[in-house]
Amino acid sequence: MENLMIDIIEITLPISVWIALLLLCAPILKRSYVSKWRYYMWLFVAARLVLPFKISLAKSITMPIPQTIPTAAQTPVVAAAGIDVQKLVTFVWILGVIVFALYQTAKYISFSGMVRRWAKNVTDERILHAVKAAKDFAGVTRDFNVKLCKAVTTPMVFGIVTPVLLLPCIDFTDAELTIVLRHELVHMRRRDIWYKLLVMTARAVHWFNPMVHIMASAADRDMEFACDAEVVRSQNVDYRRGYCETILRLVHNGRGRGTALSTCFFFSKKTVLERFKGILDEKIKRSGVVMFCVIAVSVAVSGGVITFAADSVAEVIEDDLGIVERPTPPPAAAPEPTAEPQPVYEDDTDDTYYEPESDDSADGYVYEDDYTAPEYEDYSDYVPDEPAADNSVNDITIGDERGSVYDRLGEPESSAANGMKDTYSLDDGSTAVLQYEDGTLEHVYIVEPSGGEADTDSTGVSADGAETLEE
Amino acid sequence: MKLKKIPETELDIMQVIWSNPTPITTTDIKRELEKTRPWSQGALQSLLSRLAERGFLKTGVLGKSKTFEPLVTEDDYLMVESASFFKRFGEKGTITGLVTALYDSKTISEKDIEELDAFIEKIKKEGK
Repeated sequence: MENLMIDIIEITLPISVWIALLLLCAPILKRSYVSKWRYYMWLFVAARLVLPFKISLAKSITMPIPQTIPTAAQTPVVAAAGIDVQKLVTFVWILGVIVFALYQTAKYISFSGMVRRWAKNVTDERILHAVKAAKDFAGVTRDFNVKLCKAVTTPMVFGIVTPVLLLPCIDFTDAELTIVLRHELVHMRRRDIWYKLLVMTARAVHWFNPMVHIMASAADRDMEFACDAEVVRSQNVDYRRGYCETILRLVHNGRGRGTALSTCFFFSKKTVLERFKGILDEKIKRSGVVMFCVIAVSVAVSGGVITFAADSVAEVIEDDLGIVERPTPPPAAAPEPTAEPQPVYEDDTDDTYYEPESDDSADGYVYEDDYTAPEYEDYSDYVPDEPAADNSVNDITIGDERGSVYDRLGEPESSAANGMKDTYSLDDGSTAVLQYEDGTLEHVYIVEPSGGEADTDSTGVSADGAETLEE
Repeated sequence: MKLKKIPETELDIMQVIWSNPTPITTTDIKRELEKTRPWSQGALQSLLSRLAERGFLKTGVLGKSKTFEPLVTEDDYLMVESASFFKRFGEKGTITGLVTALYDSKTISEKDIEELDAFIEKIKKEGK
């Protein structure tokens, strides 16, 4: 549950920055781009605010359990107070979401009761006929109820499951009716109530973030601009002017009614003026599809990057505490060549390498069933005999003089033209390459017959490596 | 006088009274109401007297039958009802975010409306 809160914060912060950027750029972009792209942009932002929620949830489930649990368990000193605070914050957040949701639901139910009490089915043939024409214009195919409602002063579509078109009791002229109905039916075809529901969900989840509420009112506005744009598309100036006048008439109609249910958005004079200008603007604008895609991808990614970074930080902390059961530590992942120097490698990293396997079976014997068993046996056979019995066998180590290596291993089978590399053939058919720099041994490779190259020289070739080369 | 919210059935009766010439007789009310669904005479009479008790109607007599007249206009009553709605959900808030309305008038002042009028006037002149 606490993780959920962290996920929310990880989403809310970068998205807030995007909202601020989009709001700042909007006035500039408005001049040359259609309002529709902003309308979709807000939809995308709202979806991002609501959905990652689930993605993050799935992610934390797939995380290996030992990585998360020890963090809390192993750092009780630091975390004891921290966890309580986190729990409290999470509790307050959930409470906020519930309060917001309940308030909005109560408002919706109360309004819907009011509508039911005052709405009457339309019987006027003129209105029904105009509705049919507007349906064709907007491309709405579904059936819906059309009602006259004294409690509203502006036409509206209401209802999440079954939309109802509500008209105020005003004597509309035919031209006004056409415009009003087209506007509402474009809303209906776009399922703008669902859009609003999504934005409201984002507000509920991010109720503590003022940027999300600002985004919601910007989305409301841009939804109207986008709707207006579609209604007046390829219409002449007279039509556009008529549109503005219709809105103005509804402004006047709402005026005398004071507290009647006319409020739907926070539309100020500025917004209405902006709408008038938008409606009258006949300039053909760019769709901004490319820009939309670029920004959409950036928005989608920005939340994820932070989440990812936070996980890495968590891992680093766990590493420091030494509590991580590393699933595949580097030695296990390193190549296991069949070359004989293999024992060197195993010797160095013995603990980590064998620990997991030797745990659940009899000691010693486990090695024989193992992939690397033969080398190990060779090695154990070899070690007691040679070094102890025969002192002529010496180490070759990085930094050895070329001469001293020659003393021990003999002349190389071949030397590179520049004198930097010597090669020796090994019993198993692979080739050892010794690389010199200024006469001292710099690097040792084992070249396998297939052509693959196993680098045995990381921390220095020890006695074992030299022995194998020596034969 | 404090008006109470009228229950739905009684509101149907009130709407008939508001939308017809008054004083109106019980028979006329019943005839209007039955355009949508059948009503029993007894139920109607008791609802009418309850509305009169609560101060929504004034009773009178016309010949042999009882008549009714509204004491509260429809607009006034609607105002009271929506005021109680806003009292619960705040004057400034939206009705509900979940409607797509043509526009909102709530936050527009007289002065703002004048400005909008002027803008439209200007456009009309430019068009001519």
